[in-house]
Order: sequence, then C-alpha cells, then structure tokens
Amino acid sequence: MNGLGGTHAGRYQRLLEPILEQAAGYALAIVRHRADAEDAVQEAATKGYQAFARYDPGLPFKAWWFTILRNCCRDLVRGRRRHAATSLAGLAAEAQPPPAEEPWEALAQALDRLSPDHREVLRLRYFGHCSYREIATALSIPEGTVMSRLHGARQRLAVFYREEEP
Amino acid sequence: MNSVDPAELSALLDGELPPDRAAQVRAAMEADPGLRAEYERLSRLDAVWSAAAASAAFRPQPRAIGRLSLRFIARVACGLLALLLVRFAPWFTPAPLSSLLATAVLTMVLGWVLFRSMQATAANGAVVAVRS
Repeated sequence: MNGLGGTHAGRYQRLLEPILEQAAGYALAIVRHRADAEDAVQEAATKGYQAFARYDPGLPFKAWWFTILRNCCRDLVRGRRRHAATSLAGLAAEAQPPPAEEPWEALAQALDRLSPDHREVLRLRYFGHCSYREIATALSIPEGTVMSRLHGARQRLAVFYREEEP
Repeated sequence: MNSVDPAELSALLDGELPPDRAAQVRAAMEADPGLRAEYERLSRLDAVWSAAAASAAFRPQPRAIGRLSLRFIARVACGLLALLLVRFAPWFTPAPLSSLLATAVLTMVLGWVLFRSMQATAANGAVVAVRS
C-alpha cells in the first residue's frame, strides 16, 4: 500500500501518475528552475489531493490538475519576485535573464514575448501536451476559441522562434 | 468545396478536426498549393517547437532532504542557538519575567519549526505516494 492509502487516494494516484512528467515540463517552462518546478509539482500534488473530493469527474482530470499546478507556479514566481526585489543581484537577474542553454529555455523565452493569452495556450499545448478540450477546460474558454487562439499564437511565435534557433 | 479557415490548418496539424472536416481540408490543400505550403510551414515549426518543449520534461524526484527540510534543519539550529544564548550567556541573569518571555519566544519558534516540518513532510509524501 502507499502513503496516501485507500480507494480515494488510489484513484488520485492513478490519474496523476501518467501526467507527472508533462506537468514537470510545464512547470519548468513557467518557473525556469528544475528545483522550483519540483517544488511546484509537489505542492500541486498535495493541494490536488486535498481538493480531490471536489473534482468533477465529468471534466478532464488533467485540465483540473494543471489549473492547480499553474496557480502553484504563479505563487512561486511571485514569491521569487518579491525576494528578488529586496536584493540588487535579484533585480539584475530579473531584468536580464541568462542566455538560453537548452532548446526549451529558448522556447520559453520566446513565449515570454507573446501576450499572456497566446503564451498560456502554447504552454499548455507544447509543454503540457494538452488536447483542445483540456486547454478549453483549463482556461475556461470554448474549444473553437482554443483553435483560433492557438493558430494566432503560432503565427506570433514564428516571429520570435525560428527553425534555426537552438 | 467549403473554404478553409486558416486556424483549421492548426487543428488538422494537432489531429483535432473531425474526420469528415479533416478530409475536406486535405482535399482543399491538394487543390491549393498556397494552402499546402502554409500547412507544411506550420508543420515544420510545430516539429521544432515540440522537440524544444520535449527537452523540458523530466520525472520529478521526491526529496528526503529537500530545500524545505534544509530550512527545517536551519530553524532547529537557530532555535537551539537562541536557547543556548538565553540560558548560558554570562551577561544574562535569569529573572522570573525574562524566563517567562524566553520560554514563550522559544515555544513560538519551536512551534513554527514543527509546523513547517509537517508541511514539508506532507508535500514530500504526496509525490512519494504517486510515484510508489
């Protein structure tokens, strides 16, 4: 038996297990540091378990859980910004991010140049591997809007991240 | 033949169009080289972005002594140091009121340390559990 025990916990684990790796990649795209991404996933796992009784099985679990994860990532980034604001080194790091060393970092930095709507729909699609229905549920928008927003976002991203980039 | 909304090219690429509509869009691309070229451009970019995003995925590891636990150890050390300073400092003469205050402060510090350690244990347990 596992640490959470019981049918309720077992069901939660079965739903969460297949999406953990994608969740970690999605969190990494937001928080940019592996240890922070692990913290965010860990916190979302805890919060998701605590809220699992309120989960509506009619909705995609992944969309529901990614909403929790996104909030955890945002809290973490906000906390880091507050901390950075108290130090000169932190302010300098915020003002000029380090050059991208890995392909995902270049993509994440290109996403930063898009509008929040475009950025989020692309993050969920590429880093989270979400379907249109999952994206629609996570962002509370119709699936038709996901299709048009995703297309517009790709056109914008093509301006900032081209094939020859790392 | 119905005209093709450019956004439907993205949906076709993502496998999100209903089969009958996907067949119509493919037929339209056969008849329109410009549409076909746009689809191929999107397809190339999509492959590059997908590969880039895939490099971010990793298995999150549960940490027996993670950063929260290190914080816990640091707080315990600070609490013990405070206790030693209060109890054994040569300039400090224990008096009933100061002893009471010191006890209250130490109780709060140790309570906070225990509370954070419980939070860290719960968070670790969640990821350990889903990975077991």
